[in-house]
Formats: sequence, C-alpha cells, structure tokens
Amino acid sequence: MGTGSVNLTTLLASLDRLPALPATAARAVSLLSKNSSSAAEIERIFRVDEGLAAATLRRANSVTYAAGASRSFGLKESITRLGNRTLMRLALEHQAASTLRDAGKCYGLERGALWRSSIGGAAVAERIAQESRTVDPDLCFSAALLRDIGKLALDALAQGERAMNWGRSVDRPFVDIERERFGADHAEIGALLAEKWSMPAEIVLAVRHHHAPPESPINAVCDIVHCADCVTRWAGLGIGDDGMCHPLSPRARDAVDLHRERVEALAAYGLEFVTTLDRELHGNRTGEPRTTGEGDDVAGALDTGTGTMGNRRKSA
Amino acid sequence: MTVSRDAGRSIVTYALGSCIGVTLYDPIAKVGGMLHFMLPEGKTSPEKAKANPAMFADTGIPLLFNNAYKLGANRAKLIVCAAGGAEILAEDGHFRIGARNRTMLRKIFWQNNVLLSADETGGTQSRTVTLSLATGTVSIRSQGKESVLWAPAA
Repeated sequence: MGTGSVNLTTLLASLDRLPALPATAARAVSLLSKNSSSAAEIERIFRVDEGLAAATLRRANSVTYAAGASRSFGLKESITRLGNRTLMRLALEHQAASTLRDAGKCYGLERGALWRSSIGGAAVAERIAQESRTVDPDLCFSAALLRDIGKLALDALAQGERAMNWGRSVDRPFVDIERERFGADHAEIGALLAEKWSMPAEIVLAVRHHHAPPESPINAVCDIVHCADCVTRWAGLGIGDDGMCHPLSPRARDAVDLHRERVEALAAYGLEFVTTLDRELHGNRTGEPRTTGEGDDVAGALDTGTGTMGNRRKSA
Repeated sequence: MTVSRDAGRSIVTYALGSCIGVTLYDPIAKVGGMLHFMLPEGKTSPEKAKANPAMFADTGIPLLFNNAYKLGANRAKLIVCAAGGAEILAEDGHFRIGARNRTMLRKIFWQNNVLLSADETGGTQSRTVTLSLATGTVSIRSQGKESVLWAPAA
C-alpha cells in the first residue's frame, strides 16, 4: 500500500471541509480514548442522545453484564460497568449513521448504501470475533463500521466525478485505480481520518488494512475486518462502481477459518441485521426490489408461503 | 421480492454483485415481478429461509412465480430474465458464490421447464436491473452504461 510521493495530510488539507463525526460521537471518542475520563464526564455526553443512553442501559443490564444482579443499573453505573471499547462501539453505532448515510456518491451508491454496508460489515466482524473468542467483538465492530470512512474524503476529492471514470477496473483491484487517480486509496485516507478523529491505534490499523491485511506481523483484528468486508459484499451491500474488485486474502481467509457454509451463514446474518435495523430506523426494505414511477402503490411483496412453480415437467 | 400489475411503474433492484436479480413479465396480463436473491440454498440458514424466503434461490424463485400467478400471470406467457452472479476479483474457487447462484437458478428453471429469455451474469461488475411494467423491457445499468437485456419486438 505504498503512497509514493503523495503526502496524505496535504491531500486531506486540500479539502475545504474535512469529513467529521457528529459532535456527540467525536466528544465520546475523545474522552474514551483517554483512560483518565470519569464516568460522570462520559455520562454527560451519553445523556444527550436518548438512543445511545437507552442502548447503554440495555447493554449494562443484559445477561452478559448483569447476570446475578439483584437490581437494574442507572446510566452512570452502566458506564462504569461497561469498558471503554464497548462504550465507544455504542457511541459509534448510534452516531455514525448521519455521517455515513450520504457518503459514497462518487461510487454511485444510493443514499444510505454506505451506512448499510458499514453496519452490516460491523455486525459480521463482531460475530466472527465472538466465535473466535480471541479478539474483542466491540473493537472489531467499531473498526469494521469505520472501515470505509475514506470514501467520505474521496467523495469530496472527486468533485462529482464518478469512480467508474477513474480507470478500467473489472480485472484489477479497485484500490489500484484509486491510487492512480488520487495518489492514495480510500483505506489509507480513511486511516488518516481515523487518526484525526482520535480513534485507538487498533482501529486506525484495521481501517488502513481492510483490503490488504498485513502479512507480517499478522493482526487478528485486521484479518477479521478484511474478511467481514468481503462477506458484506457477498451479502450484496455497498457495491458501487468498484463492483466486486476487492480480492480476498487467502491467508486471512484461512486464519479466520472462512469456509463456504460459514460465509453463507455470515452473509445471511449480516443482511438480516441490516434489514432489521433499516426497517426499524428508516422504514426501508434493504436489498429488495422496489417499484418506481407514478400511480397507486399496488405493488409489494406478497407474504405467502413457498411452493412449486406449477406445471412441473414430469420428465425432469 | 416485488410483484405488481401497475403498468405506470417500474421495478428496480440496485447494485447486484454475486446476488442475482430474476425478472418475469406476462405481456398480456401486464403482471411483472422481480426477485433479488443472495444465496443458492436456504438449507444453510433454515430459520432465515423460513423468515425471508426471498434471500435464497430455492425458496425465492417458486415464491416469485406463485405471487405472479396470484396477480393473474399466465405461466405460458412469461418472459423470464436474470442478471448478476458476479464473483469477487481473483477468487480462487473457494467460494464461487456467484457461480453457485447461477447454477442453482438454471437447475431450478430446468427442473420446471422454464426458459430464460435473456440473461447477463458473471464478471466482477455490479449491475442495477430495471423492469418496466408497461412493456416488460428489462434494462441493466453497469459501469455507467445502460443496456437493454430484453425488449418486446418493435
């Protein structure tokens, strides 16, 4: 992932406005990355976002954290019980949507597509980490959620030019095209952005390597985020002008023990996670065909059971 | 999955990768439908196949046809098209999800004596598929270029 003579800081400095996290998330990340922050300081920030406060209470009072407890915990106590990584994951999960929803325009992504891909990849990475029992699932969730933040900057750098015009890409990695066009790819740019957002070093590293996990030394979080990115693509999320042109590292695939059945189960899990969230938050039907045009809405899925297609050929 | 007989509308599915979009259209009844399935077989996730049969080819395709019949489509008149089924670049054959989706589609159609009128599958590019419910025209947008996969004879 060499950047040649390009100075990434100069590249980002050329933007009129740097992509930013919402104020609540930015303040939360800044506090949580310092181990000296008090629960009272964090509480003041979390209380501002009703959804975030509710999610924090839910998590702290869940079976995992509150098994055997004789009473439920308030917000401040919940913050004390949950670690910084879990709190950061909750803050990003609830706050990043507004930043990611409009991103990816230069890749031809419709509104919300990059957020769906980000949150789907995060859910897949978390699931892989939970099953591995060796890596923090909350860390993997946050890293995968932020893996494509470099596309926010590319949207601005591209100045309206679509990615399909950056170079022929059907037979080579799309990050090569990005490097030729901008001198750096969205993973490198995203890592710099993550640094500017005061993200922990593990997240910065995973964002930088989400299309090419390091071979030496091997990093389990990078491997998981990379594999989750591929699974998300198989789930049909976040595919734009870059198509399927992001190869899967065979070494990371084997390290994470990705095999066909597991990939299919993870893709189905990721899509279901996004579909449920998208329906609850925005009333959308993720990934389903939609009707367009004028007229009464008589279209829609008919929720009937499955069956044969009728008139089955007897000789078949 | 969407099935409709509103001739004033189109049905669209965006950015198919290894997923496949299947369209069908009865030009007499003006009934059309589209399925966007992700994986070949529901047996890998039976609970999800039950809750969301459109996610899988083997549960979604029969449902698409049956839902079109319920809106008045005649099987003998149906024009059926498919697009998608791309592969991750440089995939070494470990997963072949796009290929397996394509194979399952053809297997189901062969078993049920359904002929594809047109298809565009494979490669590494994404495809957005649109079905016009007024004419049955199926168009594909990929890499900024729009092409007609099927259209009625002029």
